[in-house]
Amino acid sequence: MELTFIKPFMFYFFASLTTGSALMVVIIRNPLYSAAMLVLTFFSLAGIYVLLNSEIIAVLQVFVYAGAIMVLVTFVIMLLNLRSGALINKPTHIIRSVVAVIFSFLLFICLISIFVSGNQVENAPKGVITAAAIESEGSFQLFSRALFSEYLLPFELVSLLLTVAVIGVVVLIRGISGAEENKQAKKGQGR
Amino acid sequence: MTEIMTDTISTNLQTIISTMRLGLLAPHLIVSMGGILLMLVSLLKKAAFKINAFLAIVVLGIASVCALNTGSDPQTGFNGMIKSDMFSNVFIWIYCATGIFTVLISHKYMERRKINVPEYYSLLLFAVSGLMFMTSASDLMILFVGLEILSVSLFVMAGIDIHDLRSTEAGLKYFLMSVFASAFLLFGIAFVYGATGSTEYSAIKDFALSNSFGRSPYLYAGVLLVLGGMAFKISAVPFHMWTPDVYQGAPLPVTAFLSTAPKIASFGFLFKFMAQFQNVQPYPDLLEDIVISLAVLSMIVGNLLALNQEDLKRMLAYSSITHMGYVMTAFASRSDTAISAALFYFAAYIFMNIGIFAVIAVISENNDKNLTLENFRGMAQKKPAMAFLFMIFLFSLAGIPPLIGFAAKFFVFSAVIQSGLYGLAVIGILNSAVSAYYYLRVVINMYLKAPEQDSGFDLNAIKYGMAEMLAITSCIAAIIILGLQPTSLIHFFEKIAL
Repeated sequence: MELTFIKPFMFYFFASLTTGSALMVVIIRNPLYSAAMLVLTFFSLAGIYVLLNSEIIAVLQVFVYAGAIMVLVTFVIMLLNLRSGALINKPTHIIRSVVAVIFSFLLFICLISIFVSGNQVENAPKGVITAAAIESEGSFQLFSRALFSEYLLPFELVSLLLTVAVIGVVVLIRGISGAEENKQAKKGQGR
Repeated sequence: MTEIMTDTISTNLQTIISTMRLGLLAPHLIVSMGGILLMLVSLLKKAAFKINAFLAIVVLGIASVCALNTGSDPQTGFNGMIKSDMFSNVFIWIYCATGIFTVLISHKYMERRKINVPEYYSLLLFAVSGLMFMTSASDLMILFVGLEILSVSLFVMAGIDIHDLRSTEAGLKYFLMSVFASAFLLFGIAFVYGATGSTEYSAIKDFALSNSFGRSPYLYAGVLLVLGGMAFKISAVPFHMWTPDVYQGAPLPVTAFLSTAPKIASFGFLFKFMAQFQNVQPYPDLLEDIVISLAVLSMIVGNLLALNQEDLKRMLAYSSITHMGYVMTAFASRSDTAISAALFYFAAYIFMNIGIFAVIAVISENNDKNLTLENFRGMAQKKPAMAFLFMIFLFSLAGIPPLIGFAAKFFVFSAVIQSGLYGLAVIGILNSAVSAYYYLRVVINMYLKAPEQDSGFDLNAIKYGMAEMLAITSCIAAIIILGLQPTSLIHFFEKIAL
């Protein structure tokens, strides 16, 4: 590839975009704008995945997170009618924020120490699928083959999981609507 | 070009099919397909609840027979995602037995409360299949999906009584805590994958053996997080907060199921997963210390909180934390005898716990939400037979010989002593002595105190159905027979190697 020299620049661009927009998600007071910033985070993460030669993960990231999940989040925000700063203006307990700061700092130290200690990252096991394999066969093909051969059982089990979730929701909702119908029937008899 | 493509595809397909070995999954598939079948039967109008109860028992029975068929030699299938051996078969039998008992005690209870939703049994079967996948898994991915199938079914089962606020609360609380625990677990699995490059147990084992567990902080952190996530499911202290509220709020048969099978499955997974690190030299001290402290805390805190509980279901919730603490001591001692002792403890725990919840389901005709210890005053005069059965279950939980509870504790603590953890064994034995206090308090209330006149709780109104009595009597029979003759069962468990 003749454009390889751009790659580091692209990486730093997407990385700074990811961190910047993630920071904005926390800082911005209007929840709807926060959600929009989160979409931007997902998009720039997708850019990083593309740089790592895994186009399919990038596409799924945009479809699933930016497409489906963020629509749901936005929907909930609008449904609850959260105004700007509605969640932030509540006074937070001083002890709570101190504890939060301490724990986040500890987590930060842990992560940093893992990266700094020795050459963990170089020694980490590499995946079987190399960049050359992706180049010759394509990211989607490799992903699909793994999904339907090696990971067939988990894939099928997830469908069972979704079935169970749907049944569960239907059972609970029918219970609620059944109870309301009973109430209305009783009211009707009372009159 | 296309011919070559189709050729490779067909050979790929052949290798996939030849490595699948669907036969190993026979019990799992039968139970999950049974769940779908029951869902369809639910479309029938009135009789569906009754038919489903019967069908659920049949399906679980067939599944447990199928587990016999897979044989005792360890076999792997689905590219090493599933490992079927005697160990996982024993767990399949345990789950099927728990499921059958739960169906037996559910039917009358659910009809009385007008929560006879026919899909309830379908969810129960799905939960059982999730449990089976958890312990048959030899890959963390299967474990996680199995755990989620189990959990999703349990959220709905715990909150199935829509009219009752407490049941809804129980469902919601269990949901939130489970999601939290799943996040722990998933984070841990991600770490393990990052460190070893695989989610398969054997690959993780190879990595741990060649690279020395302690020198890989990723693997260390991952295993600790997995342990933490499972401790939530087991409700080991300090991850026990959800237990009393969920036990109190959920419908009684669901509580009976919730307090036994998922905890046993979590332990089954932990035994299977941690056995991979058995030969790692040097064994990480921190990991051992954490398991031991989980065990000690669960035993002591569970007991202390149970001591002055007035509500019977909350007391049993705390006592179940203590019982899981005893099993955790066996887990801490990491020997083959400890594993067989733990298996024996699981079998004993099922008979004791399902039995005692069955008795409570019978006793609590209409107000089981506030079943206090005072309500049992003078029960022996009014209902002598029921009081006697209740007393046997309580004695067994307290570990009084010659009942099965004593044998189970004896095997666990002797295994702990054999591994040289004398302090842990002493703490366990002291705790089991302390726990006798709160179990015997109920017995004293039943036998030695005069009945209250205006308790608003009519013991005379107790009626029991055939199914409940079948569950109670078979539990009693198992408790007494296995309590007197524990050797055959423990010998059977001793032959099971991981």
